[in-house]
Amino acid sequence: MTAMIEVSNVVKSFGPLEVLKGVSFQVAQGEVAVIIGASGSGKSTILRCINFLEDFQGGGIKVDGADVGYDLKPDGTRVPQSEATIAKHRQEVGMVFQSFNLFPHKTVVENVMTGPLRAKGVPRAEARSIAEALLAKVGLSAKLNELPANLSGGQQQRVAIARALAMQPKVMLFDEVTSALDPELVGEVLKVIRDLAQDGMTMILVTHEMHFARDVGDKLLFFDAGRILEQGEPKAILDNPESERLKAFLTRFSATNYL
Amino acid sequence: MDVLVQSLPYLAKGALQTVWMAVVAIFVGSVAGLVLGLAAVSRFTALRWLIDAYIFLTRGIPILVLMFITYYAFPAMGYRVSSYAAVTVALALYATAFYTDIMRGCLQSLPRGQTEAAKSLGMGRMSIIFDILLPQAMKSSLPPWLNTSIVMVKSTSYSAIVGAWELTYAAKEVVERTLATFEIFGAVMLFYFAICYPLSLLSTHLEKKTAVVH
Repeated sequence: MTAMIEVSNVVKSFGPLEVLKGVSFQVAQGEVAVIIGASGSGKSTILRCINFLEDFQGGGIKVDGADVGYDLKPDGTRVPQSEATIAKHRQEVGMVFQSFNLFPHKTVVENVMTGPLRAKGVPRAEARSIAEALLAKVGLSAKLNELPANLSGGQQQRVAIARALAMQPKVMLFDEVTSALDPELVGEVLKVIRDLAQDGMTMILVTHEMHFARDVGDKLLFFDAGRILEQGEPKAILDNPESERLKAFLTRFSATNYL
Repeated sequence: MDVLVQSLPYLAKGALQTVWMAVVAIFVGSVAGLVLGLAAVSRFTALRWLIDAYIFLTRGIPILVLMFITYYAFPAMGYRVSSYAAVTVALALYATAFYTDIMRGCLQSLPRGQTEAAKSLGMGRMSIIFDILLPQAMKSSLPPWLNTSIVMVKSTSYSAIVGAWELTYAAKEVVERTLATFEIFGAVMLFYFAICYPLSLLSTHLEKKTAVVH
């Protein structure tokens, strides 16, 4: 299997605060990687680095063999890429955010059309048919002309997923996409993600849904204080955590889950 | 009462001049404010400083003083301009400062997630500004834009002091001729009110309508 995403020794600081202290992992084509960890462990930051919403100070990231954010010279120096190169890269990496971030002034179908129209220059009619097909896929054909404000959180998040998919990305990144949802709305969003996994989409999910991580994940990464403490097959790791940190994390988790 | 009826057409002509001056100032100020507002949130630091300086300077000066400056500055620089042109330039400069600040504020108050979502789709800088940020900022800027426009309509009355003919100047002329101070200025008050009240109503209406939910 070829690695679709290659993260090698990434170091990232916000001022004096080092949030990623040399993170390395790979995600193969069609693989679903799940990242878990306490808040502040760097799990969202690494996602944001992969589509270069955050720069990073050391190491490198490749998506489908192409360097992200910096070109690496043979002598090891990093040259920041042009804005156009970065934009092109982002077209191939779909991202879904915790807070949906739909465009409030556009209808549902316009939201999904935005990427193909404005980033790829696809003709309007074609963008519309792409959008309609994807909205059907996420079960929102009835909401095409609604504004996001008139949708439930779960529906908004499904639109956000369709919007990212409209760019036909090679990779999808999900940043705690169910954390802002009412519990009864989580299921509908997870179902869409599960369908995507079955279609063979390469994905990284940052999540607190442990059952979902176990079911859908091919690989699980436990982040702790800017490092990956454990990684491997989700069931094995969740059932037999090795490190004390993960044990403590999971105990806290099951405790709060049953509150 | 006869005095009032007789001078109404003259006052109406003055009101028309007031509206005309306000429209020019509001139009020029809005276009310039839109451009400078965008520049004020751009990555060009020097430009941002210049715009900041302009806003602080202009806001710190009474409009009347600004009118005197333009009124005397043009002749001093060797240009002969009408008093009408001088005060309209002052009004436009004044309006620009306020509109720029409004546009800047509306752009800056948009959630960061909007830019990030657009970036994550691979959109370029220009598309993000013109397709995502500007439409939202323009919508939320409508109520403060209208409020400032009302202030601009009323600010035209200062030009009477500099000597540009408009509603207040016309009223002064009529009063000097007829001594009917109360009637004439009462009528003038109603003229200004008739111009500004619809704008106020529109502003209130838009404030309710444009409360954007993110």
